[in-house]
Amino acid sequence: MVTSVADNDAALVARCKDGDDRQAFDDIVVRYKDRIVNYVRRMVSDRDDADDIAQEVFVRVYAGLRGFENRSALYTWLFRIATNLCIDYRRRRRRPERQHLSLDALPELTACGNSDKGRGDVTTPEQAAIHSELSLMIERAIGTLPERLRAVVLLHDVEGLPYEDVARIVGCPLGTVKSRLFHARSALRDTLGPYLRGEAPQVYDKDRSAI
Amino acid sequence: MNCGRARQLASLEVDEQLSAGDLVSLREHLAACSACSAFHHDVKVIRDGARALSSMPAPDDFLLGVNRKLVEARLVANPRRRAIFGPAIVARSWKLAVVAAAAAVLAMLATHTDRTAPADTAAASFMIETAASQDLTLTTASPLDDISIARLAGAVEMNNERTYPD
Ligand SMILES: [Zn+2]
Repeated sequence: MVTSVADNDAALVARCKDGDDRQAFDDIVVRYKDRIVNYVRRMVSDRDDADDIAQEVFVRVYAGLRGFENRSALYTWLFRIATNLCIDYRRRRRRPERQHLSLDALPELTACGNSDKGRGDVTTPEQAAIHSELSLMIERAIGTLPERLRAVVLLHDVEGLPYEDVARIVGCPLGTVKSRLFHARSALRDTLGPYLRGEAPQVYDKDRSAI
Repeated sequence: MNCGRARQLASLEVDEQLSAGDLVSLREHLAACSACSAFHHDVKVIRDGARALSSMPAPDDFLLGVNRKLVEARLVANPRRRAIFGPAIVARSWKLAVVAAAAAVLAMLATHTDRTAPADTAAASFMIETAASQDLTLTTASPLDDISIARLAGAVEMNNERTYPD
């Protein structure tokens, strides 16, 4: 019988709660650290602060595990904590963070990308360059969105979470999620439109296509 | 259907969230409106591109940092303080001796590579791993000290890998 991720998560949570099992908690961290780090780094462009916040997410989880009752999925709870911490962080900084991500802060762009998310086939170096360039442009454009729109795009379009989970994470009705997603995509399209229509200069020369 | 409504539906259609009726209405509009058709196409390209963005792995010491924060936040006991008066110090001393002895065996084998027998290396590795696993079993607090012990014995990589599977 195939055990689902949710079942595994519930078992890990139960081990943490019942037996104060530190290894089970470590397993939770290992299972979700990459996704949380990815999300937080895209919400908070300062990489060191982002990693600090991502670690804080798991500290909050450890502190609150006894009260977690599996009414929602574990990852939904993780992303909710992460979202709240990111919003708190930006409020503390008292200025809107609508800046382009620096090239240094961007992930290393490869033709393969995140294989578990099913990137399309990229066969030629030129196709790979175009794909990488599009990724870079999208990454930058997402970085310019207001945080409420950015969170929804990251959770749904990047992380692939369903509308219902996004609604639970950001704490708003389903209709609001759909509306925010529409506005976010419209804004991204406004930013990326010239590039998509071939009217904007390319980020990289063809000579530097092997990025 | 006006263009504003059509674009809202186009965004939902990309996620396959439209009812059959809305889907028919949208298709009729897109067939007649090149601007909304372009919008629908672009949104799909952007959504697919976002879904395929590269993953940025967490730093190697991420779990270590979480455990450090737990100790700082006093959510877990600091094993160094506990060990002073607790029975763990006995077990820890025993384990430290085993780890040190095993590391010495490994070091000796490393300097005599021509005489290294796989069974000897495996036995030494087993001693280190056993000590490490005993350490994990006997102490329920932060495993940070497990790494300290292993580092003393020069076996940090093996212990780290065991303690923090990544
Ligand atoms: Zn139209």
